[in-house]
Amino acid sequence: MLNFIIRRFVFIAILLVLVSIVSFITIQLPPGDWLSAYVTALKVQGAQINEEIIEGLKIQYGLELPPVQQYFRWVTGLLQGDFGFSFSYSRPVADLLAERLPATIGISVLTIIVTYAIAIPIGIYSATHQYSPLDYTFSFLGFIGLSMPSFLLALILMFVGYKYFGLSIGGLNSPEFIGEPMSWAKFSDMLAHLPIPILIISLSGTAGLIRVLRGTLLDEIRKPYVDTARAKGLKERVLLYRYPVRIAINPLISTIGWLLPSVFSGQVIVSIVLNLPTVGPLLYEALRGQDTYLAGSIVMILSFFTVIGTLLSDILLAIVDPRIRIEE
Amino acid sequence: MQTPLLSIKNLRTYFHLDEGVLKAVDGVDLEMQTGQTLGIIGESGSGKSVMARSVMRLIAPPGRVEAGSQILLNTNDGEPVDIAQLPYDGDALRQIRGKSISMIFQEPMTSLSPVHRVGDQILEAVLLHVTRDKTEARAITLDAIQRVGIPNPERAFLSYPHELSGGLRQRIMIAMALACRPQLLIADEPTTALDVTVQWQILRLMDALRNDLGMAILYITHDLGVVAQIADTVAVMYLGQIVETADVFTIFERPLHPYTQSLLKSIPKVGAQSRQRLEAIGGTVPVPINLPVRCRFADRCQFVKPECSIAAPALRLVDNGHAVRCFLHHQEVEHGR
Ligand SMILES: Nc1ncnc2c1ncn2[C@@H]1O[C@H](COP(=O)(O)OP(=O)(O)OP(=O)(O)O)[C@@H](O)[C@H]1O
Ligand SMILES: [Mg+2]
Repeated sequence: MLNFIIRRFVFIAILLVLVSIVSFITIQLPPGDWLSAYVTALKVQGAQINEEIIEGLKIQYGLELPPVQQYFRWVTGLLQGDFGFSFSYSRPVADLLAERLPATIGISVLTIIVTYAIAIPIGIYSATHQYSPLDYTFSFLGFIGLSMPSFLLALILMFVGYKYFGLSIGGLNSPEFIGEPMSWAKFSDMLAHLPIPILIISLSGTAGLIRVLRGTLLDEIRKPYVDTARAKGLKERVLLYRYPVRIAINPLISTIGWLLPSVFSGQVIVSIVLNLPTVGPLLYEALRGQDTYLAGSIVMILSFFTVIGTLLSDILLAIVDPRIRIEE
Repeated sequence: MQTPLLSIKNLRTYFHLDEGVLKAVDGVDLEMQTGQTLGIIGESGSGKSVMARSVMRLIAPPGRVEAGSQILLNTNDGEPVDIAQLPYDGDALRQIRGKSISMIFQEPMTSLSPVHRVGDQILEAVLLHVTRDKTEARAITLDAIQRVGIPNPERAFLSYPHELSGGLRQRIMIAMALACRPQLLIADEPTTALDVTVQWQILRLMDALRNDLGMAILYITHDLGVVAQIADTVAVMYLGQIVETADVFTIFERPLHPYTQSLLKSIPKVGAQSRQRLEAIGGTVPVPINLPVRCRFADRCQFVKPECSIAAPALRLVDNGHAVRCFLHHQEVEHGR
């Protein structure tokens, strides 16, 4: 087991290096950089700009260095906990992240919990009541959930909420609480704002999980060990949960691996539409404005959480499923 | 004569498929006495497993034990119960499953849950039927594991199925079936997947345990060598029906039904693969959907007579304890089912 974890950590380190290279290259790919875009914009507005100041800024941000050196500057900074400086916000990236990461992580964790909490009972029901009217209904809703883009759903819900219920469902707080210190009233206001974004973000993951669970459980229910349990004289309900459900749920633990990225990317879009204070809109703006360090740092942090989440789920899987250990 | 332990009357188990009604078991009558070993033999697809599973009510839709079927079990307390009439998932049926009747399945590799320790899987049955006391149940479980000849029961108790060989797994299955001391053990080809030496060990083991515990065994196989070794009485099955039944000596010395005769001819010579399937008979077992009313073996029979194609023979007693479903041995043609 220890061996397994050590090997996985080495693997994770390599993976993160690759992610950092790829994301840095992708962000640098569009021609120009943040400073030249900024200068051009100022010039268009007719402002006079001192060439020396520009040169000074270039040196300060390391923009005059070749890309490879810029990359190493950024990475060594990351290792020391220095995420660099955001051009467009003129603030350290770390400060920006500190403001928005808690909401991001909170929403993600809640989304994943909700995903499992909805998908597992429905998946079990659908498999044990195959071809029943409710099974068909869930399958139908599931396909809609898988194919409907989350931003569209967000827009629809916003429109419906505003038009018919007079609700403002954007943001995490009602206008009167924004900027206020955290209080009991603000907290409960936040709770009221959470369900809709969380449901929207979890929708496609939930639909996917239901299909996976329904499929594996249908396979498991037909396996001989279920008849063995039945032949012992166990009650149907007891044997269902003790054997096939237990075995079909194990692989769900490893779905964290694809659920996390889908939650993060779903969150970016939904947060933009619903105006949530997560890193999503920040990432979007940073990519548009070529705010290299901000964009790169967000990508790195989200990747980091993804691989750590995957590692944790692998360890958990090895704990609950005795067969995994032998294969190691 | 004492009341039989198990008495099956006109058992019919049909699968209602889109292509038609598949009559996997179509009118089986059987009797078993306490302490008796009955061997059921027949080619693949003759309905042996479906019959055995019907006795435990382990038939899932689209399969169904049809109305009119009787499976009478004499549990020693009062009147025999008709298993075919018991409500599914009711207390009465669950008291029979695992307690009065245990079953060992055809697939030793997949019949145990892969994520539970094998000891706990046996313990579960003991807790359900013998005692609620954990310590006592554990002792009974370890004793059962010991009985089936596993050298280190404590260690075996804690193993997962993937850590055990096929032979050990099948021994665990036997231990599970025997832990609650059933009156009847149904063994559905328990040794088919195992190699020959392990197969003989397990056969000897089951026979010894039968003597110790005084239970009856319904032993299903398509291996005549195995039948000769373990059975007192033999029933030969073909296309969902019993075509001949007699004590084991009569079946081997004086088989009457042409199907039994060709099964016997197809026994491999000594030293050859004894696990070989019974394929030496010409033709294959048809799928029992929309069978015409006539002798089901007529197509493959060497001795076919004109009446075999117009009526189906009934299973008739021709000698003491020897019944056969064939016109060749009936005094007069009769129009049975
Ligand atoms: N679940 C099922 N659904 C549909 N048909 C089935 C089902 N189970 C069995 N059958 C059919 O019932 C017939 C008898 O099958 P059964 O498994 O009892 O044969 P068997 O004698 O046990 O054969 P084998 O020696 O291969 O185990 C076969 O024609 C088979 O196709
Ligand atoms: Mg079978």
